[in-house]
Amino acid sequence: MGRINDISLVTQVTVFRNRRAFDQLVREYQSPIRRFFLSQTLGNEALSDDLSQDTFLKAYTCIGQYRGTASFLTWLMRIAYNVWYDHCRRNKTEVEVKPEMMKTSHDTLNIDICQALAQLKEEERTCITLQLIDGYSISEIADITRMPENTVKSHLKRGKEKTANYLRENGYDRR
Amino acid sequence: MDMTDDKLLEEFFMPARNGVVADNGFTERVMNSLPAATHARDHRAALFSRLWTCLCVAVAAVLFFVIRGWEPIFNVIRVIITTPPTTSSMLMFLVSAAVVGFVLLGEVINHERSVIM
Repeated sequence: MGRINDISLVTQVTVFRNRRAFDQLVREYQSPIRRFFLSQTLGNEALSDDLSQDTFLKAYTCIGQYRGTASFLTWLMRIAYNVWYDHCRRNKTEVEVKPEMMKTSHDTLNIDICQALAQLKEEERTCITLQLIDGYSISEIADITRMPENTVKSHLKRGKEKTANYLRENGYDRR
Repeated sequence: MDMTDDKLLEEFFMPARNGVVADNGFTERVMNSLPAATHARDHRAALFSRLWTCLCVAVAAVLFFVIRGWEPIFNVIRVIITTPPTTSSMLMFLVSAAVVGFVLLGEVINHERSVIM
């Protein structure tokens, strides 16, 4: 969906509270948002869907604050990251890493990826997934997470080293 | 980190990057959970906001005619046309343009920062 089309839909939601326009936005962007939460929760589908729903509800209530300076998806990702950050802070514990929890029917996030992501700290996991799965640049990740670019670079470096070591130890480099 | 690691990571995450999460009724669940009360309140707030804007515009229009607002505007235009440009006037113009630019830029940044999520 193009930026102009997004802005047009956002305007319809903001000015006329057009629910059909918001329905189109949710339908278009549910996949990247749910995939982001699936990566953060290591494949916990129920929790991912709850957090994704929370993200879209927040987007709906704050949609008038979208100014169009970044893409609508980047703006949504910023909300999603804040929802995830609040969730972690509320629960005050890292996501539990239990292999039996990492059951996902989603083809997009198989158990191998979940296990590799489980080796990382939360911030590293967020930066790694935003770059290697969602394709964001370092400056965009800094914008989404509100971290300084150098901090993002450090998380990416450590996260990539840990993941690459894990993959080598488990023979993924020989496949 | 070397090139081999980068390639290894890229290939490993490829299925996730290319995959699409099927909707499976998610959009419908979100649409059903949108707050109706907020919806009505937003409508009322938007209506008040529009009425306030209309009132302000009407007052400004009346004042414009009462105090003959076009006269100073025409005077300024006449001075600009009839007076040859000087270094100081050009400087003033550039400074004013820069100030307006900074104010608009600040406004955009503030709006982005004030996003409560």
